[in-house]
Amino acid sequence: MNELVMNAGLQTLPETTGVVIVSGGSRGLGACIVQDLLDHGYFVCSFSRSSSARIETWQADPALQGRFYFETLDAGHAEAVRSYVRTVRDKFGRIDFLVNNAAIARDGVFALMTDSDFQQLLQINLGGCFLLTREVARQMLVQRKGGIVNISSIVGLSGFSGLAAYSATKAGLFGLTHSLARELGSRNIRVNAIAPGFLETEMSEGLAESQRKQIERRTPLGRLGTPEDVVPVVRFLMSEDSRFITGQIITVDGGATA
Amino acid sequence: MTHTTLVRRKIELTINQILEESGRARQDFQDDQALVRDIGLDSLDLAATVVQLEHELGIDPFREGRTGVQTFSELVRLYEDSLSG
Repeated sequence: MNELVMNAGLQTLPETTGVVIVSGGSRGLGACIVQDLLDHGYFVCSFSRSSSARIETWQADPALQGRFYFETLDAGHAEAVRSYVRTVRDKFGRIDFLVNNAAIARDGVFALMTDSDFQQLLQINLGGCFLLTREVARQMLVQRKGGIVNISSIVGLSGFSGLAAYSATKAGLFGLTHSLARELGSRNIRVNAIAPGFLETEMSEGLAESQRKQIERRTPLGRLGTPEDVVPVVRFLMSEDSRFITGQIITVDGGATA
Repeated sequence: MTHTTLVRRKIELTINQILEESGRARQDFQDDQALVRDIGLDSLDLAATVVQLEHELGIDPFREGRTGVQTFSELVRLYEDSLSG
C-alpha cells in the first residue's frame, strides 16, 4: 500500500485516516463532508454532475495537492462510475471508505409527478448508489476491509407529504445498508446509514415557510439541522471507534422522530 | 510459457493469495476440483478472485452474466476463452 501511495506523489498516509470516496461532494451536505474529512487528514475523492466554487478552491489549494481528487460525472452511468473507481484505486492504491451522498430531490403531489421525475430519482438516488457501491465493494473485498456510510433521510423512515418518491429512494438505502452489512461483515467491511432530519442546505430552500415552521415545531431541539450536525457522525462511522457497529441507521434529526 | 499456462498460473496464484490472506493453506489445484466443495472457497472468496483477476488480466467474464462455473478447470477455460476473444 505504502509503495502505491508514494507512487501517487503522497508522502504519508496517516494510519488513523484513509482514502475515501464521497459521491456528490460539490455542494450541500456532501461538500461539508468533504471539507470535514480533508480537515481531519483523509485523502478525499469526490464526483458530482457539475463542479462548484468549493471544488475549485480545494483543487487550487497547494496544501491539498495529492490529497483531493474530483471528476464531473453522472452517477447513473455504469461505465463512468467503473472508470472513476478504477482511477481512484490506481491513484491511491486502495479505497478505505465510501460515503454514498449523491442524491436529487423532487417534491410535489405524487399523482402529478412525471415519468422523468421518477426515472431521475431512481437512477441517481438508488441506481447510482448501487453502481458505485458495487465497484467500491469489489475493491474492499480484495482488501478485506472497508467502511460504507449511506446518507439517507428521516423521510425514508417516517415519510413526508410531497416527498413520496424521494422518500422511497431513501428507504431503499436502508434495505441496502442492512443487507450489505450482513453480506460483507465477514470481510470486515462495515455498512451503516445516517438519517438526517431536514437540513439547512440548498435542498431545503424549496420548503415553504409554513413547512419550515412545522418542522421546527415538531423537532424537540427546535430547529432545522445543519450539515455540521451530521458530518461528525459520518466521521465516527468511518473511525475505529465504531468498529463493532454495522447494519445500523443513525438518526440525526434533533429528536424529530423520537 | 504458453498463453494457457500463464492464465492458469495467474488463477492459481490469485486463489492461493486469497487462501493465505484468510489464514488457510496454499494448495496445488487439480482440474476437476470443485471451487467451493474441494478448494473451500466461499462466494466472497470467488468474488475477490474475480476482482483480483480483473486487475491482473483486464477482463471480468462474469460482468456479462456468465454463470455455471463449478470446477477449477472450468474457471481457467472461461478466462482463456474470454482472453482469446
